[in-house]
Amino acid sequence: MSRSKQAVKLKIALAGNSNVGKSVIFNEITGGRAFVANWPGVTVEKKVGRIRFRDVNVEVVDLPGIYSLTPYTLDEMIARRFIIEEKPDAIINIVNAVNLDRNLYLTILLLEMKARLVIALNMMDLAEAEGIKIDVDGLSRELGVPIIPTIAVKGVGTRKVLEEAVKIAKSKQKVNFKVDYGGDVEKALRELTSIIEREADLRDYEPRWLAIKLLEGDENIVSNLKSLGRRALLEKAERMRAELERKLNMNLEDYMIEKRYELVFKLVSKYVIHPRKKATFTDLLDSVLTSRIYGIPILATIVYMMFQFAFKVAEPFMTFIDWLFGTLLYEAVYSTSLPLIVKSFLADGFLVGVGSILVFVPNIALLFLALAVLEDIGYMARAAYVVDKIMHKLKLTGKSIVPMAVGFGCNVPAIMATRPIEDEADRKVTALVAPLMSCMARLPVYLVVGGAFFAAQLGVVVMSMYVLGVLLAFVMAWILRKVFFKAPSSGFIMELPPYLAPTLKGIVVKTWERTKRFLLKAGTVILFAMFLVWVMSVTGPSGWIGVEALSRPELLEESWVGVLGRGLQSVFWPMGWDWRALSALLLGFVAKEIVVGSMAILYGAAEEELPRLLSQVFTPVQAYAYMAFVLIYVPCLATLAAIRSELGTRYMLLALFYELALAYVVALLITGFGALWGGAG
Amino acid sequence: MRLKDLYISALGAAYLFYAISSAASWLLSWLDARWPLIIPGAAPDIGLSIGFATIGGLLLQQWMGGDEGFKAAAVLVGSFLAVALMTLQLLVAGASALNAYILSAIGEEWGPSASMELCRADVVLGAFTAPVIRLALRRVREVVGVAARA
Repeated sequence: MSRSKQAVKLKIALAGNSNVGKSVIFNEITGGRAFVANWPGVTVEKKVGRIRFRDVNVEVVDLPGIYSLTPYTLDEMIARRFIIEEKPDAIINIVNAVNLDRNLYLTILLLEMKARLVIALNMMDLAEAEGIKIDVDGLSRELGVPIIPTIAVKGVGTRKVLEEAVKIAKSKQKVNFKVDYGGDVEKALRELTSIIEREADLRDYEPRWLAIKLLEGDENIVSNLKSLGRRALLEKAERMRAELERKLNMNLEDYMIEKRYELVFKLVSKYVIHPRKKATFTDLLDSVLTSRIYGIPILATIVYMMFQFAFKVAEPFMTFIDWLFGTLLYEAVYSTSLPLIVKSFLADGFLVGVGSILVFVPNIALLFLALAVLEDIGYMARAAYVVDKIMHKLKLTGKSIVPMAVGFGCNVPAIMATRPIEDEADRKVTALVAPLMSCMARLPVYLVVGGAFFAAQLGVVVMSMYVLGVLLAFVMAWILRKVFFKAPSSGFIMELPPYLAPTLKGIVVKTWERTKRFLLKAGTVILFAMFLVWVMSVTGPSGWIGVEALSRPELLEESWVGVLGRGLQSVFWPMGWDWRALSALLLGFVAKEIVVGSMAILYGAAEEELPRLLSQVFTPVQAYAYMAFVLIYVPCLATLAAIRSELGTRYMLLALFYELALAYVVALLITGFGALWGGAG
Repeated sequence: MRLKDLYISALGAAYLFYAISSAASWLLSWLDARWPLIIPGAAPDIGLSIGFATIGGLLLQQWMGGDEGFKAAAVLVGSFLAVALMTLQLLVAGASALNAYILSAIGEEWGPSASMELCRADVVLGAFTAPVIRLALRRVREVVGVAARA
């Protein structure tokens, strides 16, 4: 193929504040075909979509939702580093037409970096409904970038945005935008810029932007230049900064921020006509949904509905999957003429393992579906606002509600979702207590163990586990704050987005992505763990025991699983759990998903028979204490790995040990109180 | 007081009644399962009770003060939650029926029929509350319109 006919490859990034419809535009542009990875060196999610647009291959990168480009939060650092290092051919800057004065600040920062921008002026329908009139052409001329009005949720304008982005990306045109910082500062900037332009090793940076950052004393830039041995340049910038601060009688960084905001307000007052302030539909709904009296009860009602939806509507799908793996395929494998060891491995190891994972996919998918709807409507931001006052009293922040809510699905993304919390102490405390949120992997244990004793009240018993997790998270947050993180909790800044009708496509894509991530995790770690359980059950200190061990408890007791379980009995004697229940807990270290599957193997029963069997080996109090222990004790390996990569080994160990100790104490208290109440027998 | 306000208030009171009934029923089922509180349509469910109390409070907001905008929005949110609860219960009933069908097809035992799931306060009251959404929406739009003209 000749060079001229080779497809052009372009990289286009999406940048914007949180809740401006960035994900919707990303899904519209990529058709929902994206893969998720992590940004280099961190565990913040990076969404990338690859599409072919006309004769061009386009890689679309979704940057984290940000308000600025300071070096103080990781999301902003990621965005900044991406623009400097990966030099996207164009950036689609999504701005909220209803709130231009807030959103244009990021636009100014991106233009200062000389990024080639296309502005997607989103939520135009809401702006029109509120009577806001925007002179799009005038604003576009003044900023020197194309501005496309969009209504992302209806797909209006998104194709035009992509077209414009590809056009300007191919043109490679220079960006000439400048903020006028005034005489003395401009003089200093010119001097620094001319020095930077002469330095070959600083060519990665846009010279004027680097000069601005040097005058602002940007920590990250200063440290980078130090490592490049640019001490003379840094000293000169420092001298200039001190001189300018003396003349201006204020901090230079604050001064420059002020100047940018002045420009933003000038642009808004020139090109945007706001109607006289009136109560909007959103304002009225917010007055109720975030009210002091109704905010929390409404949130509780919505959470209740979400869980009823996830648990009860999923029932027929779970029944079918359970029958498919636990009966149909299981019996089909045993009816073949394969050697017994192969049949046992396939049926007792593989099918039981896969079945125990897939059976909960309907629950998980429906929970994620409900979360996606609430997020897209705009309610999750209100939920954060509503609980902020309480969270603050409990030494957390309103923003902690998002990772904690995500934790109900899976603790791994919950740890990752702590990233947008700017305050380091808030973030660490949230990440350390997020594993106490009862993830979906614990649900099978509640259903099976709880189902053995509390079938009539199973919903309430399961809910009590969720409530216990939340309460313990608050208690632990308070303790962690008192002991390890004594700095006061930061304030709460979150823009409440307007209420929007969710799109089917957006919800389906979000639900599928999250469910797929759970399945991938299940398909690797958990399947391996189930294989390990099978091996540890058919072998022991004496060597090979045989697959008969799976159906004969006296043989199973001689296996590695039995030996380890019996060893734990001396520690857990007050709770009265038998060695099989303890072995399942031990195996649950790998992943909580495998506790039930392991129990099925250890008790030599199909999952549907487990409740009946458990009702013979547990008392109701022991069962409830066991459920509580499963809720609290060590997070799964993947969660521990996430904590380690986010906070370091020290905090991972802290999470590991405090949760083990807490689980033991809570289980002991439940057993003790149960005995006092006369329920132990 | 107009007839429609009385209708909304009556619904609010009914929701509060069922909030108390559901809570009492739930509490009794815990204390002594032999003596369940039999109130037609009241499920022994504390979560549902909180939902009913919230909806009841929102629908009765017009008696409790606040500006017109707040009252109108409270009724809108209350009626929306009521319809959401009803829809959820209809979905649960549908899922229950499907589950019973699957269980019978694979030769397993199955529980009470789905029709039991439909005779509940959340379904019946939700159906009566559905028309209120339209009224509440109109009132919220009126309030927003009045504010715009002011």
